[in-house]
Amino acid sequence: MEITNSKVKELSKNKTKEKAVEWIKGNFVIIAFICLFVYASFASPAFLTVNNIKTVLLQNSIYAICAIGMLFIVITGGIDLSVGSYICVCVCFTAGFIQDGKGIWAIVFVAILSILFGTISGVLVAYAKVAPFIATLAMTTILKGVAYMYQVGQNRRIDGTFWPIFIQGNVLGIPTPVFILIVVSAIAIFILKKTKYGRGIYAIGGNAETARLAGINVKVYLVCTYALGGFLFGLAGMILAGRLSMGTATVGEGYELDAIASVVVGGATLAGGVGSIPKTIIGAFLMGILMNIMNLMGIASYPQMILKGVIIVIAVLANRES
Amino acid sequence: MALLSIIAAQKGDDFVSDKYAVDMKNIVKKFSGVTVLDEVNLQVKQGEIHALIGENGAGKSTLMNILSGGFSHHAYEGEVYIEGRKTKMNTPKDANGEGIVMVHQELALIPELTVAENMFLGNLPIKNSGIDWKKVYTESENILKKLALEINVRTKVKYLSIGQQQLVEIAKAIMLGGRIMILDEPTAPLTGREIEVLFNILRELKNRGITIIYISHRLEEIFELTDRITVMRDGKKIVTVSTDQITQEKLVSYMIGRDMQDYYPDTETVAGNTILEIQNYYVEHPVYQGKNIVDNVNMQFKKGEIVGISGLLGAGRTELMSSVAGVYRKKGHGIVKLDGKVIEFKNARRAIQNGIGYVTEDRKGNGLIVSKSIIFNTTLASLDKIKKHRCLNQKVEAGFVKELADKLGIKTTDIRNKVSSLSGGNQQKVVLAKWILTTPKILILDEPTRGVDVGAKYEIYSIMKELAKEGVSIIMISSDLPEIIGMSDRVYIMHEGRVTGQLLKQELSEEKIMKYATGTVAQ
Ligand SMILES: Nc1ncnc2c1ncn2[C@@H]1O[C@H](COP(=O)(O)OP(=O)(O)OP(=O)(O)O)[C@@H](O)[C@H]1O
Ligand SMILES: [Mg+2]
Repeated sequence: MEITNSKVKELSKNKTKEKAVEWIKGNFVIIAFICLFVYASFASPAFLTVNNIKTVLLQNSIYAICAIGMLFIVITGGIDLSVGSYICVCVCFTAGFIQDGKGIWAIVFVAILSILFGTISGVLVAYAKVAPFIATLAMTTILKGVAYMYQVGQNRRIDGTFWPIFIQGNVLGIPTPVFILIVVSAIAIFILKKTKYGRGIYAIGGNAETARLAGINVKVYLVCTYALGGFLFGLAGMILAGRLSMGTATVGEGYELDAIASVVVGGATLAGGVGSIPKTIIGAFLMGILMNIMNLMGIASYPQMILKGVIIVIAVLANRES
Repeated sequence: MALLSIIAAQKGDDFVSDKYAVDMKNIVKKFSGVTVLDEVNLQVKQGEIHALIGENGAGKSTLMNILSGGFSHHAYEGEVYIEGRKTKMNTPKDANGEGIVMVHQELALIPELTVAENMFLGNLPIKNSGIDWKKVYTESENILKKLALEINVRTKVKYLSIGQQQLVEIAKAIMLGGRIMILDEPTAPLTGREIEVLFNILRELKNRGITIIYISHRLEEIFELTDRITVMRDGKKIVTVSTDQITQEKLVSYMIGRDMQDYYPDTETVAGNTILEIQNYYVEHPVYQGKNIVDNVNMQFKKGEIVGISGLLGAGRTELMSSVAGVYRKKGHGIVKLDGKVIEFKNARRAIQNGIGYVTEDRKGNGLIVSKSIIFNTTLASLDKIKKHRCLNQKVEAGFVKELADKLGIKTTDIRNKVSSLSGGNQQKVVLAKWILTTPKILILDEPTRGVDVGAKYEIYSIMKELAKEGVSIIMISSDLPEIIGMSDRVYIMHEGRVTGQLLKQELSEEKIMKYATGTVAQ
C-alpha cells in the first residue's frame, strides 16, 4: 500500500516537474524579462528612475510597433526585410508633407502610402509567388531610393508644427508614442484572437494548403498581412519624424533586424503559425532594457552588439520544440 | 544473419526458429507525464511475420518508434534485445545499423524531389567523388519493377497519389534491406491489386529469413498474412497468440475489451431527390499532356444516400471528386449541377458556402495543421459558426469542439492539445469533426477510415449513416472493399478515369467490383 502511494507521489511529482519545464519554455521571454529587470534595478541606481523608465518606454515603443507588424507577417510564415526603408521613407514623407503645408493630411497620405507599399510586397508574395525574403529585399532598395530622391540631400525641419508637439506630448498622461503602442497592441490582440482573419493567418503559417481547403482566402489574407505590416512600419516612421522634428533619409538602419529579433525572442518561429503579441512586445522591451542597462553601465556599443546576438541565439534555442 | 541461417539450416528448421529477433522488455514510455506504454513486452521470433494490432492510441506506433530508434534510449524505460544482444539505440541510423528498417504510418517523402532521389535520400551512392546518378536511377527502377509499380522514377513525388507514395516508401525500406522490417499500416491507402503484390513480396522476404512486424487495422489482412499476433490496448500488451489459433471475434474483443456484434450499423436511410449531378466531366492529366485523368464521367447523387466510389489506384476517383469540389489543381470540364442548377466551384470557399464538405485522403499534407490544437483544426472551416457579437468566441468554440470530440470519441486528455500528439486514427477523427461542423449538404469522404480502428470505424460509419438520415448526401471514395460493400447504397466503379460500372446495394460483391475495377467488363 505504502509502495503504491509513494509511487503515485513520485509520478505526480514527475508530472508537475515536466509541466513546470513546459511552462518555463512557453514563457521563457517573460521570465527572462523579469530577471533582467530585477538585475538591472540592482546593477545601476540610474535604471529604476522615472526618467529612465520613461526613456526606455519612449525609445522602444517605435521598435515594438515594428515588431507587431513583423509578427503578423512572420505568423504567415513570411518575413519583411524592408522595415528600415519604410521608416526612412515615411520619416521623409511625413516631414516633407508637413513642410508643404498639408497639415493633418500629411499623416493620412503617409499612412495610405505605407499601406500601398505593403500591398505591393503582398501581391508579389501571394500572387507572383516571389519568396518573401526576395520580394521585401527588393522593396528595401526601392523605398530607400524613393526616400533619397524625395529628400534630395536636405533635412526638412518641422519644429513647432502640430505633429512634433503631438508626438512629444502626452495623451491621458501617457507619452504619445507609448499611448499609440498601447492602442496598436490592443487592436492587434483583438485581430489575432477574435477575427477570422487572425485565425486564418495562423492557419496559413501552419499549413497553407490545409487553410486553402478549409475555405480560407489565402492570397487575400497574405496581401492584407503585408499591407497591415506596411502600415505599422509607416506608423513607426511617422512617430520617429515627430520625435526628431525633422525628415532625414539617414534613419531606419537595422530596424528590420530588431523587429525580427523581438518576434523571435517573443517565441514566434520563422516557419510560421505561432506567435503572440504580448510576448513580442515583451521581447522588444527585453532587448531595449538590455541596451539601456549596458549604456548605463558604460559598456561600449560593440560588446553590446555581440551580447544582442547571443541573446537571440539563446532565445531561439529556448523556444525550440524538443 | 548468415550465421543464424546456417544454424537454422543445420537444425533442419525452417526460418521460423524460436530465437527472438526482437525482444522488448518492460518498456515504459511517457509523454509529458502521461504513460502511453506501460510495461510492454514484445517478443518477435526470427523470420516470422508478426502482427501488432490494437485500437487507435493503443501505443503501437510508439512502441515501434522505440524499436526503430525514433526515440533515444534515454527517453524510455526498459530494455531492447535484437537477436539476443542488448542494444541502446539513439537514432534511426543506429537502428538501421542493427538491421532494422521502418515504414512509418505518416508518409515522409520530400515532395519536390524525384522518386529515385527520395529512395536514396541519406544513402546516395558515391562514385569518383561524385553522386552516382546512374546507379540511383537504375537501382530504384529495378526495385519498383519488382514491386510491379508503374511509376517513372524521375517524377517528382508531389505528383504521386498517396497510395503511390506509400508504395515508394515500402520500396525504399526494401531497398535498405534490413533483417527486421517494421511496416506501420502500409496498406491503409492501397487497393486490392497493390496489396496482393505487397503481400507476395512480404512472403518472399519472410522466406529469405527476414523478420517482419506488421501493423494494420484490417483484420482480414492479419489472418491472411501473419504468423503470430500481439494485441495492445491502452498502452498495455494484452496477449500474443498464433494466428491460426484465434478467431476474428476473439481478436476484436481483445482489442476493444468487449465483444463487437456488427461491423456496420444497420440504420435505415431513404434516398431523396437528386442533389448533385456530374455530366460529361473531364479532367486533364496533371503530368501527361493530351491525356485525361478523368474521362467523360456521368454521376448522380441523391439526398440521404451513401454512394461509394471504388476503383484501383490511379482510377481517377480522387481527381474527379476534388476537381468537382474546386480543390484540384487542374480545372475540370463538363457540367456540374447542384439542386438542378448548373454551378462551378472555383475554390474551396465557394464549395463550402454551397454546402460541400471534402475530406481529403492526405490528412497530414492538407487535412490538418498538426502543429495546432484539436480546437483550432476542428473549427477552421466553420469560423463563422463560432462567432458571438461578430467576434470569434473561445467559449462557444470549445463547446462545439468538446461535443464533437465526445461524439466521435477523439481520445485525448485535452482538446487544446496539439493534433501532432494524437495517434493516427484520432487525427483522422479530427479531420472528420472539422467537416461535420460545417454542416454540409454533400459530404465527400476520401478514404474516411484510413488508419482507423474497428471500434472507431463503427463510430464513423454510424455518424455517416446519421448524417445520411438527416438528408446529407454522402460520397465515399474507398479502397477498402468490405467498407464499400458494408456501407454503400450504390457504388460507382472507375477504371482509368472512366466509370466502368454501377452496382446497387443488393448486387454488391467483391468479385463484381473487382471485375469492373480492373476493366475486364464494362457496362
Ligand atoms: N509526441 C507525442 N506527444 C504526446 N502524446 C503522444 C505523442 N505521440 C503519441 N502520443 C500519445 O501516445 C498514445 C499512443 O499513440 P500511438 O501513435 O503509438 O498509437 P497507435 O497505436 O499507433 O494508434 P493508431 O492506430 O491510431 O496509429 C496516444 O494516446 C497518443 O495520443
Ligand atoms: Mg500508429
